[in-house]
Amino acid sequence: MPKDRPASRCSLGRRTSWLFWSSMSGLGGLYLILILLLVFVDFQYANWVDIQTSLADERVRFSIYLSLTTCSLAAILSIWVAVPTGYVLARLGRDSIQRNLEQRPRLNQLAQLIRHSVDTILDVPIVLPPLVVGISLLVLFQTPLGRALDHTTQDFFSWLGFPGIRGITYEIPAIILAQFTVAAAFAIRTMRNTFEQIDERPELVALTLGARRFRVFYTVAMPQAWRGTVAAFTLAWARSLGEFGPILIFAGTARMKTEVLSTTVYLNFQFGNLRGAVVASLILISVAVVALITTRLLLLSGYRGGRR
Amino acid sequence: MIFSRTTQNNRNGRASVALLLGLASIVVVFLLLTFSLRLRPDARRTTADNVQINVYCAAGVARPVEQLVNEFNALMGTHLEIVRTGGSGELAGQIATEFQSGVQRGADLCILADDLLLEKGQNDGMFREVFPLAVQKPVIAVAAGSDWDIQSLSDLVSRTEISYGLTSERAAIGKMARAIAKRDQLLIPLEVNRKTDSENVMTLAQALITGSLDAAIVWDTTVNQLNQGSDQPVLEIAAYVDPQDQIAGRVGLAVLATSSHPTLAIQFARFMSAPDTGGPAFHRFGFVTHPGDHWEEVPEVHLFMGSMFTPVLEERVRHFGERHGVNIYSRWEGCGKLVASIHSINDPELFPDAFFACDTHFMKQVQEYFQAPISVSSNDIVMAIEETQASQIRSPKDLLNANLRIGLCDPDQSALGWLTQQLLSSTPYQALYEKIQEQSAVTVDAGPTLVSQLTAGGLDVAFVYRSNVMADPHLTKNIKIIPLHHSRASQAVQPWAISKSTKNPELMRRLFEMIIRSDTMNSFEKAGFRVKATEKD
Amino acid sequence: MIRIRELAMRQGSFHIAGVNLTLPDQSYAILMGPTGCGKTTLIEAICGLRPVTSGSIQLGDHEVTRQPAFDRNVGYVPQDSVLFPTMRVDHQIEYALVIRRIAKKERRARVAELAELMGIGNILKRFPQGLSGGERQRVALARALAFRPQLLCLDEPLSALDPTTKSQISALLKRVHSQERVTVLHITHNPAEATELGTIVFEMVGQDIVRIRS
Repeated sequence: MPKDRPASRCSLGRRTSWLFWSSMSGLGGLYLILILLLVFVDFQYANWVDIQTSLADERVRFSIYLSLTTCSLAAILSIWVAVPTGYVLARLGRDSIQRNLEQRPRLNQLAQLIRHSVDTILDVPIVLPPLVVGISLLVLFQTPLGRALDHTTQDFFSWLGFPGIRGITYEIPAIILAQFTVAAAFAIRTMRNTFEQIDERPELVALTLGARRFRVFYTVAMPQAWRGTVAAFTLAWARSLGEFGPILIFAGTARMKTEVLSTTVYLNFQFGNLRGAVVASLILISVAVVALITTRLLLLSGYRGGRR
Repeated sequence: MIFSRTTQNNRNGRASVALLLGLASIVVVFLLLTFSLRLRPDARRTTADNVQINVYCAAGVARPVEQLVNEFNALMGTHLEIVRTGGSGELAGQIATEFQSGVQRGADLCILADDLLLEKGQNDGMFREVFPLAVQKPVIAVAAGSDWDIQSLSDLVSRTEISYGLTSERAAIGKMARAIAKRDQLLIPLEVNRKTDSENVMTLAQALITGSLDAAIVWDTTVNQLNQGSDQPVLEIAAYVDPQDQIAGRVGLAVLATSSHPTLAIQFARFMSAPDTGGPAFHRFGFVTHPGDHWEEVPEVHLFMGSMFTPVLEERVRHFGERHGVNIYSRWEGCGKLVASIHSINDPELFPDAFFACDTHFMKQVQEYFQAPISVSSNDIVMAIEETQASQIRSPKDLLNANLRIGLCDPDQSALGWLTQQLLSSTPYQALYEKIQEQSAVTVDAGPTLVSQLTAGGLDVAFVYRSNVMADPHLTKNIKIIPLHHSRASQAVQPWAISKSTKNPELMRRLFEMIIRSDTMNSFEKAGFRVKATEKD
Repeated sequence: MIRIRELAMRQGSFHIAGVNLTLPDQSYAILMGPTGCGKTTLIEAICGLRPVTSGSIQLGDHEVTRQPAFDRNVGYVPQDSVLFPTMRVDHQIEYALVIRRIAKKERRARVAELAELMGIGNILKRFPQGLSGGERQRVALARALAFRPQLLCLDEPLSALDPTTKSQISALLKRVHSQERVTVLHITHNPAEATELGTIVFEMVGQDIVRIRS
C-alpha cells in the first residue's frame, strides 16, 4: 500500500493536469481552427492556376513588390524612431524621474505629467480609426507646411531622376507615410517594453567605467535589445502590410501607381472580381507568413548562438 | 554572438554592431526608396508630359468605365486613371474633403451613380460640368439557379424567411431603394427586415454570390457585370423594384471645379457619352445610355449671336470653347444680317449650330431650321442722350423741336431698328417714326455702333437697347438714359434656339446651360437685360 | 585620501544626512551596517550614479560631488557583479580601456595581467551566461580595476557566494589590494569580513558613521 500511494497521487496529478491543460487550450484551439478555416476557404475559391495567372500579371507583381518595399521602408523608419523613443520612455520612467527629481516635488510632478501625456499621445495612432489617420494626413499635407514639404519632396525626386513622382500626396511616399504613422506607434510600444525588461544596472556600471551615455546605449543597451528590435520590426512590417484605410484615403488606389496588396484585394472586390480578390488575399497571407517564419528563425538562431 | 564577433576589427576596437546596423539601415532605406519609385512605370516621365487625370468611379459602374478609360488612353495617349472606386456617397465624401482642404492632386472627374449627389456637388461649386451618362434600374437579385420566387418589393419585405440585404444610403442604390419603398409605404418593413447594410453595391453583390444572403437589392447592371465576369451566370434578376420605372439611378460624370486639366476631363466625358464610343461599353453591361453627341476629338460649331450680347457673352463663349476643347466659330452681328446669312448659307458645315437672337421677330424668320426657341432675357429700348442735352428732352416727341443729331438702327438689318420702328409708329407716337427718320443723322445696323458714335460726340441722341448703353459704364458715363414708358418699349425678347441639323446638340445644350447659369445671368442683369424664366416658348 | 563631508541624500521616504567619512590612501575600508541602512545608496553616490542633496565628496585633490559618473575614475563592483550580458569576458575587462583609447597592445597586456591576478585566464573568451558566481565576481573585479581607478567600491562582494568561493574571493581581494595598490571601500553586513579584510572599519549607526577600528 505505501508503495501505491505515490503512484496514485501521480495518476491523480496526471489526470488533473490533463484536465487543466486541455481546458486551458480549448479556446485557443478553437481560435486556431478558425484561422485555418479562413485560409482554407480562400483556397476553395481559387486554385493554383488562378494564383499562377495572377502572379504572371504585371499589375499583381507590381503590387507585391510595392507592398514589400513600402512595408520594409515603413518598418525601418519605425525602428529608427522607436529605438531611441522606447529607450527614453523606459529609462525616464516613473521611478527614474522620481529618483532624479526627489529634491524638487513640483518639478517632479510636472515631469510625471509630461511623461504621462507623451505616453498617451504616442498611443493615439493605435486607437485612431484608420480612416481618421488617412483624412488627417490628407488634410495635413494641404497646410502651407505640408505643401512646402510636398514640393520639396517632388524636387528631391526629380533630382533623383524620378520627375514622374509628384511629391507625397497620392504617391508612393504617401503609402510609406501612412504605414509608418501607425506602425511606428506599435514599434515604440514594443521597444519600450523591451528596454523596460532590460536591467539598467549594467548601463550604470558602464557609466562608472567611463562610457558616455551614447556609448552605453550602443554597446550595452542595444545589444541586449536586438531581439526586441527584430520583434518590433516584424510587428511594424506586418502592420504596414495589412494597412489599408489610411492608404485608401491618403494614397489613393491607382493601378500600377499606389497599388499595394491590400489595395489589390479591395480593387478586385470593387470590380466584382471575387476570385481575383481571394487570390490577392492568398498572396498577402503567404507573404505575411513567410515574413513571420523568417523572423522566428532569425530569433531562434540568435537564441542558439548563446544569447540570453 | 553577432554583436561581439565583428567588434574586434574596428578602428577603436569596438564600434558596436548596433551602430553599424543603424548606419546600414540608412543605406537600405535609400535603396528601397529608389527601388519602390523605380517600380512606377511612369516615374521617369518628365513633368511636361506628365498630365494625369484622376478618375473616381462609383463601384457599380467601374467595369464599363475601366474599359472606356483604357480605350480613351489608347486613342489619345493620355493618362487617365481610376484612382478611387467605392460607393457614390463615399466618393462624394472624399471629394468634398479634398475640395474643402484644397488637395491639389485629388479627383479631376468622378462618375457617380446618384444624380442627387451630382446636383448637390454642382450647387456647392464642387462640380463645374455634369454629363448624364446612363440609367440603371434597381432590381431584386438572387443567386443564379436559386428557388426563390420573389415577385415584387412587397413580396421581398413581407416574407421573413428571405434574408435580404441592401446598401446603406451612402450608396446610390440604397438611397434609390429606400425612395421607392417610401413611395410604396414599405420603408419600415424594408428597414426592419433587412439583414445587412453594405457600404456599396459590389460588396453587397459579393455577399449574394457567396451565399450569405438570399436576395439583395442591386442594380440591373450589377447583375450583368458580375455575370460577364464569370464563366457562367452567378446572379439573376427576380423582380424590378420599381415596375413603373419612375425612380431609377442616373449615372453621371462630373468635372471638378478644381480639376487641373478640365479640357481633357471634358473631352473624356464627351467620349464616354458619345453613342459611338461610350455606348457599346455601357450597353455591354446592360446600361441604358443617355445619348450624347457623336465622338469628335475637337468638335467644330458655329454660333450666330446677336450683337447686343457681345459685351456679356463674347468672353464667356471663348472661355467655354477653350475649357471644352471645342472650336467655336461665332459671329456677333446685327440680327437682320445673321438671318440673311442663315437664309443664304448652302454649306451645311457652316450652318449655325445655334442662334441667339436679339428678338423673337428674327427667330421667327428662320424658325423652320431650329428647334423650339427658349426666351432667355428681355431688353428695353431707351433714348440714350448726351448729358448736356438731357434737360430739354423728356419724350421722343421733344426730339422734333430740338435741333439734335439723332441715330437710328436700320429696321431691316437689326431687331433694334425694327422694334424702334414699331414703337414709334404706335400710339401715342403715331407717325413719329417717319418724322424722326427724316431728321436722323445716321442709320446703322447695330445698337453698339450708335453708342460708340454717341460717346465719340458724333450724335446727340439715339434709340438703343438699355444693355447697349450699360455694356461699358465707364465709356458711357456722359450718356443719360431716358426710359420710354410704353409697353412696346420692353418687347425685345431674346430667344435661344439650337439648330435642327446640328451634330452637337448636347454640346449646344451645355453652352446654353453656361448662358443661363446664375453668374452669366447676373452679368446679363448688370448689363441692363431682364432675365426671363427659361421655359420653352 | 578620500573625504566625504556632511553628505545628505534622499531616496523616496528614506533620508541620509550628515555622512562623514575619510579614507586614507591605499587603505582597505570596510563599512558595516544592517541591510537597508543606506550603504548601497552611499556607494552609488560616491560612484556618481545618484544625486546628492548637499555635502561634498573629494577624491584625492578633486572635488567630484557634481561630476558625472564617467568622469570620476571610481571602480564599481555592484552586488551580484552585474556583467554586460552580451559581451565576451575579455571585452568586458578592456571596456574601460577602449573608452580611454588605450593602444591595443597595452590593453591586451592589462587584460592578461588582470586575468592572471584573478585566475580567469580560461574563461576570457566566454560570455557571462553560465559563469559561476565566483567567476562572475572575479570578472567584475577585473573590469572595475582595468583602468586603475583611485577608488574601488565593492558592494557586498561576498554575500551571495558559497563558503568555499567566499574564502577564495576573500583571499583574492587581499591580493588585489596589495598588488593594485588601490583604495578600497567595501560594504558588508558581515562583521567577519571586517575582521579579515579591513585595515580600517566603519559602522553605520543610525545616521552616523562610527570608526570602530583603524
